[in-house]
Amino acid sequence: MLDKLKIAAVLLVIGAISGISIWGVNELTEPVIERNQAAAEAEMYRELFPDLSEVEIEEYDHNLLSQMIIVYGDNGSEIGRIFRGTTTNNFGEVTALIGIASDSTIARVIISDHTNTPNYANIIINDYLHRFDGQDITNISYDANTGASATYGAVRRLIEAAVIEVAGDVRLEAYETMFTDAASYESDTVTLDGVDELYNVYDSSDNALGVVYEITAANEGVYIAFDTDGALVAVKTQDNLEDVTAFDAYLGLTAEEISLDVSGDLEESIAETLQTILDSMSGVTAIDGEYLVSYKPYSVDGEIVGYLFEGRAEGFSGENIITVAIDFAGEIIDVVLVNYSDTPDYVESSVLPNLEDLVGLTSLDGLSADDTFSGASSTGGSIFDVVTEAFTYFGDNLSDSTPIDDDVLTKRETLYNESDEAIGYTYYGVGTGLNGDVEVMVAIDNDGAIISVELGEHGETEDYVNNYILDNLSHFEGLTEAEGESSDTFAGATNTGNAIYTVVESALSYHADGPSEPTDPDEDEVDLIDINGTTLFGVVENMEDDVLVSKTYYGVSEGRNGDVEVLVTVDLEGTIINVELGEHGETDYYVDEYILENLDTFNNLSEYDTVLDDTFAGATVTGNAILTVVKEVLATTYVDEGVIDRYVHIYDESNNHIETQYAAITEGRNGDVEVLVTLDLDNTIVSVELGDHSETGYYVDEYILDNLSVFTGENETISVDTFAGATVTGEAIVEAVQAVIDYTRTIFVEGQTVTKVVEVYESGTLSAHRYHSVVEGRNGDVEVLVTLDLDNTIVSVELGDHSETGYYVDEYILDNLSVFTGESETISVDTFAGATVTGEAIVEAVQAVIDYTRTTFVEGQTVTKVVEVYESGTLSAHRYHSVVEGRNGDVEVLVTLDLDNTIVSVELGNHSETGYYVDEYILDNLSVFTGESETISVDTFAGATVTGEAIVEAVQAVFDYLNTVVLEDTVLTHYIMDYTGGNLSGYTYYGEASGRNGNVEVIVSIDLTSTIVSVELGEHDETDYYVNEYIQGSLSDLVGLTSTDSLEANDAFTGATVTGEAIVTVVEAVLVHERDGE
Amino acid sequence: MAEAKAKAAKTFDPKKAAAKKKGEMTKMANLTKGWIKENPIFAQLLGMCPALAVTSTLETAIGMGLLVIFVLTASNIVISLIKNLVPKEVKIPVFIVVIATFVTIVRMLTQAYASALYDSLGIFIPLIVVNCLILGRAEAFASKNKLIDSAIDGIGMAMGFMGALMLIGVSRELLATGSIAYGVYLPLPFEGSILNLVVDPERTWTSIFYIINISIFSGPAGGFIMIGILLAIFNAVRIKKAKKREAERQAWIEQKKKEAMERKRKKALESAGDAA
Repeated sequence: MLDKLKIAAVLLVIGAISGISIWGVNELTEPVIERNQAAAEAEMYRELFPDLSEVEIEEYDHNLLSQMIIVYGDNGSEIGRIFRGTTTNNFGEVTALIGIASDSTIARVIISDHTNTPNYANIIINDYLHRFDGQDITNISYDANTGASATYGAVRRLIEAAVIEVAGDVRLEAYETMFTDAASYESDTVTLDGVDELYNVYDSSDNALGVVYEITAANEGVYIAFDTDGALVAVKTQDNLEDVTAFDAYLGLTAEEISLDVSGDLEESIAETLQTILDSMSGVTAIDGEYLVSYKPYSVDGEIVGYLFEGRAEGFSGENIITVAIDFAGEIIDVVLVNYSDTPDYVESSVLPNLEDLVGLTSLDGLSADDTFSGASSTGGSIFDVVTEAFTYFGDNLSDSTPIDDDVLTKRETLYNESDEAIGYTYYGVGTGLNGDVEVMVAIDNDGAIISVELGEHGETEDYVNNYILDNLSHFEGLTEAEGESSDTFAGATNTGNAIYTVVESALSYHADGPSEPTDPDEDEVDLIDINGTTLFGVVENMEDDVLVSKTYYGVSEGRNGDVEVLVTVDLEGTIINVELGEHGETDYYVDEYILENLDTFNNLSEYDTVLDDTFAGATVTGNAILTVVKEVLATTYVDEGVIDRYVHIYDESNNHIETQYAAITEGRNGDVEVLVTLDLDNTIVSVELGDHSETGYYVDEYILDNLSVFTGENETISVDTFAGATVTGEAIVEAVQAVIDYTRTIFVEGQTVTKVVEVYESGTLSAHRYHSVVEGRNGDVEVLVTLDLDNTIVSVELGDHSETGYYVDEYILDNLSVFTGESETISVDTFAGATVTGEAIVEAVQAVIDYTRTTFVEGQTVTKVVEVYESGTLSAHRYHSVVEGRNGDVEVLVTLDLDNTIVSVELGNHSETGYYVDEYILDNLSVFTGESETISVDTFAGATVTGEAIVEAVQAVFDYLNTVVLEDTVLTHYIMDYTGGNLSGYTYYGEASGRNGNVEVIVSIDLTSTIVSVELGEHDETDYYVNEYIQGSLSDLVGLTSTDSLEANDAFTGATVTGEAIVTVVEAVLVHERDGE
Repeated sequence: MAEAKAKAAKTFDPKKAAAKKKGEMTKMANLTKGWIKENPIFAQLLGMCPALAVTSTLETAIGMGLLVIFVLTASNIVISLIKNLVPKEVKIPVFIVVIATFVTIVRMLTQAYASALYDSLGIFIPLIVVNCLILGRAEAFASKNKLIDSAIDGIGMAMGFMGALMLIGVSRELLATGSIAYGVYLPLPFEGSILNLVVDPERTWTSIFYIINISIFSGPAGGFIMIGILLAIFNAVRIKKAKKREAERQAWIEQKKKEAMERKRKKALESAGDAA
């Protein structure tokens, strides 16, 4: 409570002091600030009216304005007024001063304050505001382009408000002449060519009366007004509000009914803009056709039934204007000759009556321009041209069947009900089923709900479709959204099911959003990597967060009713996690009853169990099909190692592994050749067979098949001469067999520069090792093959895979590789290929191989490896790699000790610490270890940071490693020699014995007189309660013991429990070991 | 190469380096650490918002710099004074109240006595309250150190901040306008401009001053570009120095190794002599 009061008191005091300080400064500065503001204000008034001598400020609260400042000149007469107004836009407030001179012109406009984006506001302030200077307030010209910017718009509203204060509302007065009840108006946005402004006009109850377009035509301002029904109300000049009489004929007509035809400069100029306005009102879309100029929706009795095309074509004595109405189904509803310049008598008698013949046509095929209309007249021809182009345009752009440019959907057609009303669309799409394309039609109504889904052409089996698909299509009815990625709900995630689902999904998406990003209909299958097994045909790598977690193998085997697809998912160790059925033709009853429930029998299987042959699914044909696939998955290992594709374990009848068949794929004359090499458990070739290949039958029969037996019994390389002559395919087969033999003799190394080690045999005897070392050259990874004889002397260095340029390699590398031969030492980089990136990389690769041969790998310790370091051919030091945990993860510390085990250097290897920290705190200090042969205290190094401590621990671990003696004892595992001040001070023994819940590790330290100094528990599984209550307190009883004799007196230790006895056992073993004096 | 190594070995003294790291910081080191090594803008990337917004001219940069010197020093002093009185639960709110008080005071003073600067810095004066540099120094330094040290830290860091702003400001103003103006924003008794590189109004490609008057540098985008360029230079120098230090250290280790080997060889020779 007191604490809280204290906090409150402190906050109160601080707050009070703060408040008083601010009040004090405010008192001091307020008058100055007010003076500054007044001066700035006066400065602005003077900017508006330089001749100002006195002002009179009148507070105001009207129509955005807050102040009116009446400005007087030297002679005391009023020279103008300044209005201060504030308005808000989307970006904040804008305050402006509008100066209006006594002669009704704008003196100046200044933005005095604003919170708009400075850059945009500055453009208006600097470039646009001065354009108002001197303008007559009754006819202010606003900038059309900037008009849409927020800041300019705000200023404009303020100017208009100011102008109304001075001159009254000229605009409203004008509008009152067009709409008698007009009481207010509101600006609206408009982007039509030629239109300056658009205002909505309201009566005193805020009911809309109509709109007024303000345009400039032939340099004159003109109002064009329409009422709320879209009928033209007035066309007046702004200057004197006089009607432009040429348009009187159109008053009261709507956009659809008006076809403008006026003459005179002003009139034509107005008509041009008015036509744009009319088009925008009636939904006219311009067409840049040979004859067609526009089209718009065509309605009958207020309902849109099609399109009305307008076209112009040359007749006998001038241009004819023709409109053609075509309904959604593509039939002509109406053709009108709107305006013609041909002889009226002729047109009326010979053309117009024939137009009706066109109604109902869906094309002009079979008709010709010459015959159709009145005996090859020009007028007939012009109509023919327009109608023909209208059909073409309709077919291409507007017809019901609209092609869709999409990966899945192909087109859509308008859907009509029985009363011929368009109620939606039918989408056509194609998905990929098991046996090829599946065409699907999806009907969607105007509300976006699926009406029906139907199957079109497909290659699936009738049985499958009848049983699984057709009955389920109704599942989609009524859906308005796809159900997400899972299509499990439909047809059980089969290929065909997915194909249909994909089309449905695309159709819904297209219907809702229009064209979408192209989607890959095979998205679910793109990750299927082809494999070429007996029953297996593909594998999908299942990733989680970009890490491979499992693989799903796809296999097909023959069941009772046809192919059965089986999906087997295995984890990275090859243990089955899941088995599912894919597509199949078996009956539902059978599958549900016998198969599905038993599929989990396979889970956790990593080797095939022959018991399953009899027990799974009652040994039915379909059951066996599934077993065949599962068996192949379990027996096969896919390796992607050079040409080796996979290997399969072959079992005898008692399920013993007797042989392994490797499949290698090499390139023959006509393409890939799959070679199947079967080896027994001694890696001797049992048989070589040809798998898939594209070689000619004759060649294979004649030269290959008979000769494959030459490999049998060999476990050596076969020379190419021995086999099938030196043909391309012969060589490919030899290469494959050799690759298999090499593969069996290869040790794969992970996480090192050396990636693999291959044993090389000569005449059946191991003669050398070939090390594959991968380093980074200029253009990417370079594989270097270093062959060492059994004394680890370099026999040869060759280049493996690399991406370096041929010229560089030929010129600088290949010729020089021989410098390595005969060496068993490091090669200096200067000696080889100059100091190029790739040259250095190759030297590094060779060095890595030599290091690798001199490295002892340690498992399960802090020290992970020990590398011998040679100088001038003599062993000069050992480098210990110690891995400990720093702040950001593992830190590798490289500790080099000379032959006296004195530290020569400590360096940082791989780590994830921050560069700054390492530079600042670690690297400079690593030298403190140099010269030491003892433990380093943690205080000496890099402060007590996590990584600092970890590095000390790593160095200490090296010494521990050196001081550790491994014991061959049933209880004791090892001991570490303890040093204090450079002298041996005792030993720490590590032992294990069985406690109640498992092994208990006991750590016993003794001094040089074999007296126990301490006993601690290491790792154990005993309960905390038991250990704390019974063990920990008693451990000190064991300190000071020197012989097992005194130990017997301690039988009572921890009440002779199992765990207590385990501790005693270890202590006893230590004392016995000491007594026996090793 | 060998010569350079030997030379480096001579110049690198690990004991000195360690002592330097361990030892108490001198008052001078405390004052100057923020100038280059721990510069708020270039090394710590603190207070980037004003660094971008108010550095379009040298004068606004100086103005903001002066305000920050005042606020940071004053708040560091007050926070150092009250550090033992403030319960740690309300440490941060109290710091913010202190900082906000000084910012409010400085805002009123600026508005009263440097109104052009006030108009130009605009929203960025109140925003000094949330400048992470100021709260950062309060929390990291002033609340743990004595009065004098805290005051020195405040002055030094703010000077570093101001220096960085000025560097950015002068570069941007020069590139944007071709000259450096004075007396426009700060209440100086005189005004004018210096440098006044001849800007080529025709913008002919042959003119070397075509590159001047790049108006983008007066806007925020120019701020980003200029800070990017200066950061790159700053980092390049820093990395070069770090590499030099590393080379010296390596040379020193080499030497130590050599000495150890030498000792070992001697010992071996001696024991061989003894055996003989």
